[in-house]
Amino acid sequence: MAAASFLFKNKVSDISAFDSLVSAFCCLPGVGAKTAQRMALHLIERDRQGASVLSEALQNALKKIGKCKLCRNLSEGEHCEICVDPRRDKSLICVVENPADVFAIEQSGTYRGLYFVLMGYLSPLDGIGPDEIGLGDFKNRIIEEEIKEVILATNPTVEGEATAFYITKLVGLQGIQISRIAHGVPIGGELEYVDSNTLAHALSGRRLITK
Amino acid sequence: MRIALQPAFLLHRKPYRDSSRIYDFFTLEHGVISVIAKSVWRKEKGGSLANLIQPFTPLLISFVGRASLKTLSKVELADNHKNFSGERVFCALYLNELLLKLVGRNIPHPELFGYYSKSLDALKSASSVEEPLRSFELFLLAELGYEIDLETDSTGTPINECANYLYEPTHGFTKIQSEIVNEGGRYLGRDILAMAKGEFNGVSAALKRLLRVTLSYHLGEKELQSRSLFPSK
Ligand SMILES: [Zn+2]
Repeated sequence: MAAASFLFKNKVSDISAFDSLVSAFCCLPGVGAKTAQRMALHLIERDRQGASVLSEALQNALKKIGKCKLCRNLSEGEHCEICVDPRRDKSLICVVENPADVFAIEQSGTYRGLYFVLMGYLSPLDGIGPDEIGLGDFKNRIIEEEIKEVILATNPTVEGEATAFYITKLVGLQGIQISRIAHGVPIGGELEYVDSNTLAHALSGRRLITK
Repeated sequence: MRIALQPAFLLHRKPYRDSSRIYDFFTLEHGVISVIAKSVWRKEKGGSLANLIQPFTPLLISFVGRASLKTLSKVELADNHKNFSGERVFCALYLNELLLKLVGRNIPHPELFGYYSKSLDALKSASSVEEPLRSFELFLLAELGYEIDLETDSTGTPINECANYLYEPTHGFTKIQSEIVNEGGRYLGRDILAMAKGEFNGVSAALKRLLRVTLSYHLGEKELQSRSLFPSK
C-alpha cells in the first residue's frame, strides 16, 4: 500500500506497521485495499480510543469464542446457549450450513428446536467430505439422543442439495423423520421476476390446499 | 477480448478476495476458463443472477479480458437446470472434477462440450450410472489424446479374443501366458474387444478397472475426491 507512505516519510518501520494494519483489514469480506486504508487511517488518526476497544474486543472474542461441542455453532462455553436452553424442543434438530443461518432462523422466531451447524457443505472438489462437515458427530448425536425429526435447511444450491441428500441417507437408517425446508417465491415477490430455477422449485414443492 | 453469449457450464466456484468469486466454466468455444465475478457485479444484479450460476445449468456467459484474467460481464440462462435426484449428483460432480483436473485451460474442446452436456442428460435418465460414466471417461481420454487402444496390443497385433492381456497406461495391452497373473490385473481378449465395440454390459468391472488405472496415470499427483461420495453398492 505505497499510497499511504506519505504519512510517515521519515520512519520506515512505522510504514510497515501501518501497511500490515491495512492488509489485516483486507481479510474482511467486501473490504478492498482502498476501504482498508480508509479504515486504518480513521482508527489511527481520529479514533484511537475506538481502535483500542476494537483491538481488545477482538482479542477477547478470539480467546473466548469456540465451537459448541454439540451443535458446532459458535459458542463461548463448551455448549452454546441454544443447546443448554431447557425450553428448546430436544426432539427436533435443524441442520444448517453456517452460523449465519442459525441467526437467520432464530430471527424468524418460529423455530424452537436444536441445531447442527455443518460449517460448510459437501464439496468433493474442494476436498470437503462428510468428516470435514462433522457428519460423524452428527450421526452419533442422532443415535444417542431422543431425536424425532431432522430438518434439513442447507441452501438450495447443487452442493446444498447434495449435502441434504447425503444426510438423508445417513439418517434414514435410524428410522427418524426427515424433512427439507421449502424453497420458493419470496414473500412480496412477483412471479414474473422470480428466476426460473426458483419457480421450478416452488412448483415442484407445491402444497395441496383443497381436496 | 470481448466474448458474448458463450454457451457454458459452471464446473466450480471459489471465493476470491473482496467477496468476489472465481468461476471455472467449461465453454463451447474456449474450453475450460477461469473468470472473475466482481462483488459489485453480484450486488448490482441483486444477487439473483449470480444465483443462476450453479453447476449443471446451461448458461450463456459474456466476459472480457485476456487468457489469464477474464471478467464476467453477463450471464443468461440457456436452458433449465439439470436436476439430479439424490446420489446421481455426486456422479455429475465427478464429471466436473475430471474436466477440472485433466483438461488444460483455454483450449477449445467443442465436441467434448457437447458430449459433457449429453452425458449429464444420460446421468439423469439412464437406469444405471455406469454406462454414461464409462462412456464419458473414454471420450474424455480420446479427446485429450490419451485414447486407449482397444483393438491392437503393444506390438501392433490385433487383440485376440482368446488371449489374456496385461495393461499399462504407457504401453497399452501386452499379451501374457494365461494364468500367471491373478484376475485382478488381467484382461480377457474378448472383454477388450467388447469394450472396443461399445458393448459395456458384462465387462463393466474390467472396464472400470482399466479406466481407473488410465485416469490415475494421467492425473499424476492429483487425486479424485468425488468418487468417495459415490453410491456404495
Ligand atoms: Zn450448541
